[in-house]
Amino acid sequence: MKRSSLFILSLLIILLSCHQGSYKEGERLYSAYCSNCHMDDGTGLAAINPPLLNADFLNADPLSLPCIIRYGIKGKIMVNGIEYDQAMVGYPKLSDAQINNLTNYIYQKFNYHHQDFSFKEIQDRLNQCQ
Amino acid sequence: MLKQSVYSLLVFCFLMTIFYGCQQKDNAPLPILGRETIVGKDTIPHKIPPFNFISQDSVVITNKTLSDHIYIADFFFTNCPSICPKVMKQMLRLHDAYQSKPTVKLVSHTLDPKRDSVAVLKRYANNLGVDQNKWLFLTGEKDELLDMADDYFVVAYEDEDAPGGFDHSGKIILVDKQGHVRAFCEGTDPKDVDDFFLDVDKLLAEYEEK
Repeated sequence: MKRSSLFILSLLIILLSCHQGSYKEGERLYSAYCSNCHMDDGTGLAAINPPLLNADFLNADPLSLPCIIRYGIKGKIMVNGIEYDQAMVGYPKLSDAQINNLTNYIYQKFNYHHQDFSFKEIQDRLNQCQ
Repeated sequence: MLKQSVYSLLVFCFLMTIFYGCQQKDNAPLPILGRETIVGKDTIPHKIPPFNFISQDSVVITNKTLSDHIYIADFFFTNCPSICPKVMKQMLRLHDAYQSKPTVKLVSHTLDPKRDSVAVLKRYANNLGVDQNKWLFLTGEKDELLDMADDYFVVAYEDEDAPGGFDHSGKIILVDKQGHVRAFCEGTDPKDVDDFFLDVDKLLAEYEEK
């Protein structure tokens, strides 16, 4: 009886720390790939690099982010009333799992009220990028 | 009772010395940075050498253009995927803070004149949304721009393995009306830039007192 409780407890601890790990991994990826242009606080740079913090562009279509991370984005876009026309490079070497972690980190960090996207949701979306 | 008073007095004097001493340190003028050259009997401090660049408005900019200003300089390029946006964010802070001080100008030099033409710099400056009489974005001959970085004590060189093709530091430099480098900070560190504001204020005060 005692042994099985201990086992369950260990399992819980491992599972909990794994969940914590996805934001930590997302944070690490954000720092390595995104913060140089979008800043640590997600505020971007004037009309050169758009903000991620409370960006209406992302709110309108939250699942647009994975494809942007992988393939970048070109052409004019409007974010919070400001026009941006500077191409963003993509990061095709990031895996589906890494993009999953990065997407969820960005949404939880910059005030979006979405539940984390599952790996399958992100993977399905990435398979449909144009 | 007497012992206690003497003790309190000593502590008070000690604190006043430190307080006064710190004040004096704050009042010391900004040094002139860089190696001096000795020519005969004269010691000549380091100075920004004569330069000739073009601004985003196609205006030729030389030392003479800036001779009646103190200016804040940095080196960047528009395709920079690494430190430049963060440094620009800090330069923006400085631009905004000194908007009401026409003596203060900002000068951003490109390291990549091949891609950063006058038109590209103009677009960049427009998108940054700044007062372009106050903030000049300069392009010109590549060798001259890279050599100039040296004179500003900014490490900058072409490196095809570096992100964007150039390796450079994010230093922000303060230059006085005589072309002397008086202070610098690390543009990627907002706290270092906080201290830099004090240096700019000090240099401004130096000219206002005269």
